[in-house]
Amino acid sequence: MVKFIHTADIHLDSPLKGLEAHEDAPVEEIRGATRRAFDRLIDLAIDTAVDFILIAGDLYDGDWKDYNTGLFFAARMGRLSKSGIRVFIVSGNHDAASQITRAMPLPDNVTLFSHQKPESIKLDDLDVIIHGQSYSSRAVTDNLAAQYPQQTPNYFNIGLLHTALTGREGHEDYAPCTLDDLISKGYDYWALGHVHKRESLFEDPWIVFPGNLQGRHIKETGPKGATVVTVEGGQITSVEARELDVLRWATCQVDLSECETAESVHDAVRQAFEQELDQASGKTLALRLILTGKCPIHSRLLDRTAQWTEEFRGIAAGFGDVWLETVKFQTSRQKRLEEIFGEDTPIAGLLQSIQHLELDNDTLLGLVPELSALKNKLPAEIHSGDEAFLDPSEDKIAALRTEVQELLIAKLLQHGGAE
Amino acid sequence: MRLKRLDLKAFGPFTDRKPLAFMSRTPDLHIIFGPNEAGKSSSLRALKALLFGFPQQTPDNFIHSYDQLRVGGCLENSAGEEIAFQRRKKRKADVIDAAGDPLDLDLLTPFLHGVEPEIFESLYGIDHDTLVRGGEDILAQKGEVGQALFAAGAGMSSLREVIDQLEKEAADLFKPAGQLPRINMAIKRFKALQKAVKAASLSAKEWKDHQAALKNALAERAGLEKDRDHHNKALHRLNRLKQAIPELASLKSRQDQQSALGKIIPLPPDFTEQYRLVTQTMREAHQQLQKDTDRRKTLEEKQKAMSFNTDLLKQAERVDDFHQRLGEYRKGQKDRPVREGMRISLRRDAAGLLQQVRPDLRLEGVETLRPMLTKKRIVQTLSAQYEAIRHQLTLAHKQGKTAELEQKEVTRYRDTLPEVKTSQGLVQAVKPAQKAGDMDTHIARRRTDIELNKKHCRTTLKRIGLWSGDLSELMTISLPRSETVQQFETRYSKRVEERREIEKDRKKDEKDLRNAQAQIKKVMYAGEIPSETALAQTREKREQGWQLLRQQWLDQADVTEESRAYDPDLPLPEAYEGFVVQADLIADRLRREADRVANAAAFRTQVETLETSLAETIKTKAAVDQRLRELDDVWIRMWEPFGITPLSPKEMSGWLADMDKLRFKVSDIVKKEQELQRDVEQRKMLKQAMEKTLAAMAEEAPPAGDTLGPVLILAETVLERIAGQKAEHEKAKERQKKAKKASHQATEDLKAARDALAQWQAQWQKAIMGLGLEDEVSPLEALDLIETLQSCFDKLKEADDLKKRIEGIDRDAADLEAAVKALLETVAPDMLALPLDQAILQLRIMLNQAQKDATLYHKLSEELDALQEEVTGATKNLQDAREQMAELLGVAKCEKPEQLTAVIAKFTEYQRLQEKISDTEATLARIGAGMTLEALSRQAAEMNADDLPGLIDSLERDIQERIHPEINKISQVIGEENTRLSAMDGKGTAAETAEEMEHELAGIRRLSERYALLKLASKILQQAIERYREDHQDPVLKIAARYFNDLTVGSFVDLRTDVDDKGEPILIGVRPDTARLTVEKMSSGTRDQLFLALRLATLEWRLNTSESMPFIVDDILINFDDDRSRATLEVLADLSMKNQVILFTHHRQIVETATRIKGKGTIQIHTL
Repeated sequence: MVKFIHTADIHLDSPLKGLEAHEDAPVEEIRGATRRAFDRLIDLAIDTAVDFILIAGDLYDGDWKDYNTGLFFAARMGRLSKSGIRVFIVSGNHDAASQITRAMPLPDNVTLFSHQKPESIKLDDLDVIIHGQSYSSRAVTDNLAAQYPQQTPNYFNIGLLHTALTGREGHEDYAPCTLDDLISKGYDYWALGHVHKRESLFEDPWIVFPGNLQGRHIKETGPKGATVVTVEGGQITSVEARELDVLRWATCQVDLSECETAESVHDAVRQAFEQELDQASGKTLALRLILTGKCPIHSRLLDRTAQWTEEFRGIAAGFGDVWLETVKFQTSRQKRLEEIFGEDTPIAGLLQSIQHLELDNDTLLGLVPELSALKNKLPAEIHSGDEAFLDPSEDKIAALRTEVQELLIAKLLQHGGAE
Repeated sequence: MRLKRLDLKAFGPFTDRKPLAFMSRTPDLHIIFGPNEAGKSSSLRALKALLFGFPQQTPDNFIHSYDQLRVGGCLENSAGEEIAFQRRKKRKADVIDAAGDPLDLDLLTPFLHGVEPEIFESLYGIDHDTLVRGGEDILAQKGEVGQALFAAGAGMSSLREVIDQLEKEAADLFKPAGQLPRINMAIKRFKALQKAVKAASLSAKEWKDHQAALKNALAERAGLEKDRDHHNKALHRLNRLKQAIPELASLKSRQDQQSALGKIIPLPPDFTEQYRLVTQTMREAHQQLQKDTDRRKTLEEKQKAMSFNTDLLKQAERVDDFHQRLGEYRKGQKDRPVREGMRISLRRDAAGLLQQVRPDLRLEGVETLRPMLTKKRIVQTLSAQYEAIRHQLTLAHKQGKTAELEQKEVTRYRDTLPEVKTSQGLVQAVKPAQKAGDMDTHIARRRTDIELNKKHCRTTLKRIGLWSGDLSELMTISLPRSETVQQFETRYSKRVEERREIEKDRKKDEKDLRNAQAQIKKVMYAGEIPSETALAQTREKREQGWQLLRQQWLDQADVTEESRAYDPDLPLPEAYEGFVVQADLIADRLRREADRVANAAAFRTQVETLETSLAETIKTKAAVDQRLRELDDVWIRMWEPFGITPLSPKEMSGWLADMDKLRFKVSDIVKKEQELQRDVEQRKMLKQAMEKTLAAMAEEAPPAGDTLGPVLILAETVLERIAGQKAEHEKAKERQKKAKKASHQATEDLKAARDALAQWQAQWQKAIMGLGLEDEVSPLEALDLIETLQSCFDKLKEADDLKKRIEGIDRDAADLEAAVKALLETVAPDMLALPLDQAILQLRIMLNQAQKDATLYHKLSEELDALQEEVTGATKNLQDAREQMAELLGVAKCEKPEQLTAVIAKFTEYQRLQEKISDTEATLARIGAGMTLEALSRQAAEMNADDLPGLIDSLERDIQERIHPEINKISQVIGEENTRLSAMDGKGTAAETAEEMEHELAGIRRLSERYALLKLASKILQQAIERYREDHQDPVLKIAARYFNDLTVGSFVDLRTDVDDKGEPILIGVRPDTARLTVEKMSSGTRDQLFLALRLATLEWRLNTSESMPFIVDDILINFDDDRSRATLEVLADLSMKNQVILFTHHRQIVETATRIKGKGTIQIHTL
């Protein structure tokens, strides 16, 4: 019987993004999450006595330069070595960009595939042959799979490859190839990497993305881990996903249509948190809370978002192992504003001017000169990524417009003597 | 929209209250007045609940539970539609109809126009707080026009607060040059963390460099260590030889000395020691025996010399006893005279006291009085009783006297009271009058009411017109029935309809005729129409010409004349030719223009038909007109009997309806008049009944007149007076009864007190009998005497006690003396002559001496016994030692102890040399480190000893000065590298710090977005305010100026804009004398009115574009003075012409003011 673990996209020591520290946040619970998840992988390998581990690329994070990460990795390989477990790695786009990859001397039990041409390594004691090729540079646009050799008879053939296949949303289109390219090689198992969401694409032969080991931001929700494969008599008998993550990311949408009081909002949020926790198999949660619904106290929510956020954090803190990432106030009022304010009222005029306002970057900076000063002072990181500051894309501008409108309406209603 | 009815079915304090009806044609001002607790606030909430549903929590459930709460009402919109519905407190389906079935919410939309409750409250509601806050806000923003208009237009009290909040929150987040705002601080922290990450990071190159450095250093150190080891080996060999050479020499010398000693007698190892011990023991035993013998001799001599008093020693206990009793004896001798003196003095005092009680008795006879002491308690008790009885006696006397006086006083008072009249009759007459109520007012009001109604009816009659006459006559005339008029109306309308139809026909015909004629004309204008007639005529003319030509041509006839007649202008042939052509032309045209010809013919026919039809129609019309005139005649004739020239039947139908209404009203008046008459009669009857009874009671006559009131008042006064008198009588009677009872009680008490005194006196006599007194004594005196007697007895007892003590002292002294004498006779007869105390002391001294001597004697005896034991021991020791010495001589093969010393010395020297040889051999073995003695000796022989130090020194110096420093240096490098590398242990510090950086970044991102949002919102709001001002400043300010003028009763005639120092437009109030006041200079009340003026102006402005909604005003007049209150009410009344106004108030003053004002709208007051 042969048993091995297939993992990929470990991104060791890349930090979790988007979590704002606050009092009562479970800081300790999530510290060094990628390392701890990796440790769990090592424990799993030793406990289940696997024969070898396949790492299908992106062991390191491209921008990360601290060589301690490599030393940590080497130490863990040492543990595996003591238990007689071998490790096979193809480097991915991130590894190719990483300085650590190039400098790191590999322990004896670790094999890194060549980046010049496909290599095939026979494990005669197990009747297993592994074919693989590493990335030579950050962006590989050739079809690497095409050059992989045909299957070797009488062996269990494994293909190890870092690829985006025919393209996956949110992932760079590297080492493109089709499922047919892979199937045509006649291998028994294709161990792929690069796509962070676990995906089992085909079962004869098995073609698997194991997903990353630990989610690192709100777009990487749900359970994360590695895949354990068991082979008996040259046939795969089980392909099992194992959860190894330390921190679970989740978005939690709460409908507040029925809520008329602050207490009922708190209750609804608390219940939603409880449900999420139930599904998180006891892991610490990083939650994005999205409030929706035509809500009777919409204005009260929008008037004091900071205060509400604090209250929701308090609820999260009450559970001990929940970190509230952000709160998105996406509730709407029960009636349309035009219906409410009629025609010739000042607020109706205000609404119109908001709707007609151009909000591209130049206009915005012209309108609010303080923003230029702020922009200059902010760290460069704030202007990059999925949620860049003052993103001039159309939906962001639309969202900003709505936010301005809702904030003003809420403020004006709350101070119009209505309460 | 306006509210028509508010139904407080089950809400707050209300349960099925009579609906508040807002019935009027114009929107109107409604004042809902409720004093405190009447439910004003509840009804305001009820109104909002009706319009928008119940809020989730309401304080109005203190009577009705949530599921019972109901409020109903009726709304009317501008289209004149109405809706009546109820609300209950439910989340869904809360709008229901009268039967309780749910109504579709959409039914309310045409009335509420989707207005939300918050918006309704802000746009259409104003209360005192909002007003005051609004006024304050105007001041705070210094009358800034944009904000004032915008706030008023949006129904907001504080716009400034909104802008301030936005700006403040933004400033708390970020300032371009700030340090403390949250974003500024977060950026600072972020940068620090960035640095920390860099510091904690390890570069790959660094790690590799250190790895290589370590490897090199380790190799270098290994080389050096090899050198050092080599040197050390050589050194070891040389050092070994250096040590071995002197030792080898010394070994040789000792071996030589040992052989020189010759034959040796071997002795056991402890032989010398044993010899020493035996010799010492023998010497010590000799010395001990000599010392002990000397000591025994001395002690025995000492003992023999001692002697002491044995008899005295035996009596030692008795001597101690005497010594102890001596102290007591001495004290007794000292106290005795004092006690005797005290005893005599006490007896003298006792005699004195007895003298006070019974001068006739001597001290010896005092015991006869002792029984008196037992009576002390009885005397005390009786003494206390005596005081109580005396007090009772005095009190009873006093009360008796008071009661008698009161009795006399009451009797005199009763005599002065007047007699009471009987009031039964009057009561019976007054009761019905009271029950009838305020009949005078009632009658007067009714009369006025009737008069008013009559006047109104007359006015109405005049307004209706056509008929004049008296109201009573109106009731009797029998006007035509409305059905009849209806018939006429139908007939008229039928006729008129006919005529209209005919007229219509006629007009149509005329129009058609005109059309047809026009068509003909049109055809004609296009050229003359060829007709068959013209063709025939032309052909005939042609024929004529032909005939003339033929006559001329064939017959040669002269046709000049005919030719001229045929054509005066042309010669015949040309004329004929012309006709031929013409006939052909006509014929051609007839064929060619056949359509036109036919059309023309058709139009002509049409014209003819229409003309006939028209003539017919005119005739019919005349007939219809005739019939109408006839109908008019019948109509007018019908009204002649009433002297009325009728209007059209339709109008008359209305007139009849008005008349009917009027007649109904008049009949109502008649009915009321009859009721009035009945009331007047009843009043008269009641009045007479009372007057009659009053006269019978001889009371003063009531005032003349019809009214019942004065008589009733008089009668009630009389009744009250009689009731008062009756009460007086009752009171006096009661008082008399009480006085009598008191007098009787006093007599009883007196008797009881006297009896008690007599009984007491008997007991008293018995109690003091034993004292043997001759005179009467008071209880207090008796008590004193007994106390004195008690003291006398006490003193006597004390004297007796003292006597007993003296006797005791004497007895003890005698006992002691006897005992001492007895002892002295046996042990020291020479001391018998001494006084007792000296003898005892002397005895004591002697005893002490004897005891000391005895102790010494015993000690000497013990010492002698111990000496004897020592002597025995020493003798035995000496014997043992002699036996041991004999044994030793045997071992050493000697005959005398003196020879032993030399044998021992020789053996000892041999042993010493043997030990040294062994030591040297051991040293050499150690130096040789495994090398045999022979090998070592061989090596030593080969080496020149003088070269050794030089060789050793050179090697040592090389190690110390070259190899060791280098190893140290390289080891330090290795240590450093190892430390560095072990610090590079793959720790996660940098990664963890990077995570903290991400935390900060997330915070910065969130706060920056919030900041952008806040700043943007603030900017946009300010722009909107400015735009609103630009658009509305002129029209709205104009309206507001009017309101401001009205509200301030002309204190301000206008409201203008001006610019302040910063160029911002601001509001300015203009005084009648054109003085301009900024808002800061206005009083706070005036600012409130300014805010109100702006609110009202925007409300009025909004009416141009929006459906009106009721304007709810909640007690805003609290701080207004009377004039401005009235002015405000007038303004609201004016506004209510266009927009319903509902004002809630707690203050009756406002209601009263409202009833007096002269506004344009109608004012209705509703009291809760």
